[in-house]
Amino acid sequence: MSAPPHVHHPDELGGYATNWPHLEAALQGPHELPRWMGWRLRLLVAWVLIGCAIIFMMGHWLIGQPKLPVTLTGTADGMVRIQAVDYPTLQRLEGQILTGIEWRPPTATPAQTFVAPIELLTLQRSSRWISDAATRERYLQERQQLTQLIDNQQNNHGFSVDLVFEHGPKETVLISPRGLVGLSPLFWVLSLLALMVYAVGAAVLLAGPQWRNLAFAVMALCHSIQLGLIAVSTSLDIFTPYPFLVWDGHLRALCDLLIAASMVAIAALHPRRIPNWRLYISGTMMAWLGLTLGLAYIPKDWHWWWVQSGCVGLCIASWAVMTAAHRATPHPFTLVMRRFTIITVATWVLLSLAIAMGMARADMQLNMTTFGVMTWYVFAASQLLLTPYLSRSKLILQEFSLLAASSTIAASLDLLFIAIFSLGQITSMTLSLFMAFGVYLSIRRWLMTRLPGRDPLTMERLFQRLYRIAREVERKPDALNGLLLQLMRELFDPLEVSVVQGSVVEASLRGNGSVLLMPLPQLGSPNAAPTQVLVLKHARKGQRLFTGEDTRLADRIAEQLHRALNFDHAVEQGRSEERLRIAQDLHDDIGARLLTLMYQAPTPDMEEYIRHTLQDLKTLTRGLAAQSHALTEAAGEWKRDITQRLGVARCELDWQMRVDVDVVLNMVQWSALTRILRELVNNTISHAKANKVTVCLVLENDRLTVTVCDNGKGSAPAGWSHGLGLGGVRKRVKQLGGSVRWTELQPQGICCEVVVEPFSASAGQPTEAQLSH
Amino acid sequence: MAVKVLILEDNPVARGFLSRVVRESFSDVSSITEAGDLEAARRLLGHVSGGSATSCSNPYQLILVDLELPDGSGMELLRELATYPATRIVTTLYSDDEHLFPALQCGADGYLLKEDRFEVLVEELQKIVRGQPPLSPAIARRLLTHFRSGEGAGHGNGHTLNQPAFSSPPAPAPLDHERLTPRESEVLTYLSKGFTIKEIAGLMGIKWFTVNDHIKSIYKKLNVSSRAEAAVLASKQGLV
Repeated sequence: MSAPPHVHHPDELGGYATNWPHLEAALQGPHELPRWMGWRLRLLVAWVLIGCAIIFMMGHWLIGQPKLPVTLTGTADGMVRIQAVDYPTLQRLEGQILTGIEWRPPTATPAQTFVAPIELLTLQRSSRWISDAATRERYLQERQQLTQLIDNQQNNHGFSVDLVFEHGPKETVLISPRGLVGLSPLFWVLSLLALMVYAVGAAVLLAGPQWRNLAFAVMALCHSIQLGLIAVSTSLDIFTPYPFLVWDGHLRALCDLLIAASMVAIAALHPRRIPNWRLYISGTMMAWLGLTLGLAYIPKDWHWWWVQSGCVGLCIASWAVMTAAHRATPHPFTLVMRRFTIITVATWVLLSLAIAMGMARADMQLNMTTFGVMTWYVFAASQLLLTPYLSRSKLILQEFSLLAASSTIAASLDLLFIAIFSLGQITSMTLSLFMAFGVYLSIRRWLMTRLPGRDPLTMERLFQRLYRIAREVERKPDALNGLLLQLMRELFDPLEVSVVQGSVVEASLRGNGSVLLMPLPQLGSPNAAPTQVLVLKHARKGQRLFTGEDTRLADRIAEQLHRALNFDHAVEQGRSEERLRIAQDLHDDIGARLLTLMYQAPTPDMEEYIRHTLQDLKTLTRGLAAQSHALTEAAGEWKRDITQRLGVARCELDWQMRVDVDVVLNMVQWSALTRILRELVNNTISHAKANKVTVCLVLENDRLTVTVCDNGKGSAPAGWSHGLGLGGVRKRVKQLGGSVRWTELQPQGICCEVVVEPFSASAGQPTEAQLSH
Repeated sequence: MAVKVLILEDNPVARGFLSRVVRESFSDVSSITEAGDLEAARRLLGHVSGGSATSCSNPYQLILVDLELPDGSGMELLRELATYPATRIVTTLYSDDEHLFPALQCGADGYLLKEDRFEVLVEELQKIVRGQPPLSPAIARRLLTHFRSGEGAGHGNGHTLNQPAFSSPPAPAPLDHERLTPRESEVLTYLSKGFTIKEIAGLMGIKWFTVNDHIKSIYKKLNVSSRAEAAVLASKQGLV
């Protein structure tokens, strides 16, 4: 016995070849790394290593920078006070108001003394956040003086300067390099955050080199530069090198504008490209370029406002683009991003206004530009980190990110309250914490319900899927492998799935859990050893190893599926057995009685009527019991039947048949066509008194035409009363979804034409199920 | 020559009807014996259940057997009549090949469908006795499959038709007389498509009675092949 050819549809297996590789081959075959594992991962690692190197280089540079042995702070009336000292010997300086730093070269005359004044402004860490042009100039000038003071030092191991106090004598202190311990912890924390943002940007770009990911990468890079600059400034004293300060100011403004421009680009490209996206992007680029170049032409007084409002303008543009995109094609991601944008812009505007308007207390202004700005960037960075993983990350990560975002909001609010409303520390802290908690709760609830999600396959859905697969397989037995493959793919999210020839008794692990083998259940033969094995490699995109738990789950899935299929099979078998029994009973009992009745019929008409009934009964029972019929085979029987009946009536049959594709008739079609032909021929025999009948059966292009023409004495078919016979024909034709009409022929006779188009549609739903069993 | 007829049929009305058909068909009917069940038929033929009826001094020349009988299937009697020198005709309500084909394999010379008109039955009966057994398209198809699958198994050319309803045990290499000639195959193919004897004769360019001869020959081969098969089976099971 040759095995039946295995048929399956290529699309159901996602294009897998019919000739499956053998199990050994699949396990031993060259372990080809998927693309992501290949060059992209290497590139990402290299990129991150570069980032790390930059951070360490910055750290190294900072270690060599000079450090004042005292900690300075602002006072409420705008003076600079020594808050803490590094050495116990300087203890007495605490609380003194500092006004300047002097350095006198050892061999020089007093005239050559370098003096750098110190005021509250000097403590600012960056020129970027000084809104007033004149103040900015003064700040830079002061810093330049300080830089010059240091630049004159030749000694790397330290030098001494004099601190000039408002009241009291000068004090000589030793300025030494900062050293490793001199780096503030904030530097490391912010650098780490910068590195994360930097790596996420690169990862997103490498995962999919598309325009939108490029825009995100640019944004992330700019943001990491900002964070890096802030990190560096935390560990630099008033002795920041002047060129660094100048560059810092320009770079920050540039990055801010670029971040805002990228936001517009992302809004235009993600999640779907909006129509005319090229136009929007080039418009954004032009705006960015205009804003950047414009800085050179506008008066310096306007620079700060120009940059701040430029950022706000671009962000509002991105918000508008997102709104338009969402209106065209709603997407939950757009909604989330839009809300993020609104929050970010609102805090930005608040921060800018707070800094620009100045504070009731001068030292608060300093706090604002130092910690407020830092907080805002950390907050924005956490949003940036959250964005690409919004839909993919695990719940915990989402929660964590939300919590981080909320706490940043709390911190910024805290600072704002202190700054704007001059509230006390405790009050503002409590208020801001409450508000942040409220924001967290509402956003969390809203996010969790609205997130576009590929949440993991829950058990409930798994069983639903199994049930659905069983239904599907009932209709198309060949689809089993493809469907199971898809299910396992969704369940374990492996890098590679394949079906191979081979035999394993139960689901098992290979390669220390990198490969899961699962025997595919065989249809129809429950006890036969499975010959096909599903090979899953690298669970969860290669991030997880398969466990014993997974093999048990796979086995349970196979078992449940098998059970469901067997159950279906048994039901179908029972159904067909029952049909067969009903058919047999009908045939034996009713058939025999009708036969007896027929033999005893008082009139020939009655006898004929009973004969037809008997024939109908036989057609009916046969339809219940028999398998499917091919059209040509059925036609052979129809022809023979009609020939015989017309022969008895001394009538000639002209049988014509044209079939372009032989189709398999289901029971509905077979029994309907059988009865239609029988009734039409009966009608001709009993009423037309014809001596020639032409039956023409044509199936072409899925259009079935059956014509029965005679040369009898029938006429005016429109006026016929449609009794049991012709009514039956109409009913059957309607059942097939076709049409029937009678026409008068010249010189005599009647032609009946039945048209069913499309014929394949007349099969109805149960066809496939019937054919598969 | 006087024809002795046995009608085995459980329905008395049908028995009477068939008697009339037989009398109408032949002018020289000497006697018609009627039996209501297998037991009565065996008594009349002079053998016991499972044995085989042999020719006696005054045998029946025509035996009509109904397939559904109160104490068993008419098929049993047909098997027991394998060597009985009579024309054996199956009368049945079943016109489908699942019922008729085994009957033909058991040695029936033809079959009559009980629901046919009186005139049709008379004509058909006369034809069978004259040696023009009927072959419906469905039966012709089954015959084709039967002989082809025998060849396929014998020669291993792999040409097996996938017919789940019909599963014969793998036959031994068929002898020449169990195989169909090309002409017979052709006749069967035409028959399976619903062509009449006359049409087939026209299509093949031969006389209609030649077509009939082919059909008779096919019947015989079917009978012989099934008997050979039965013998092989019997010997395998230690029955013979």
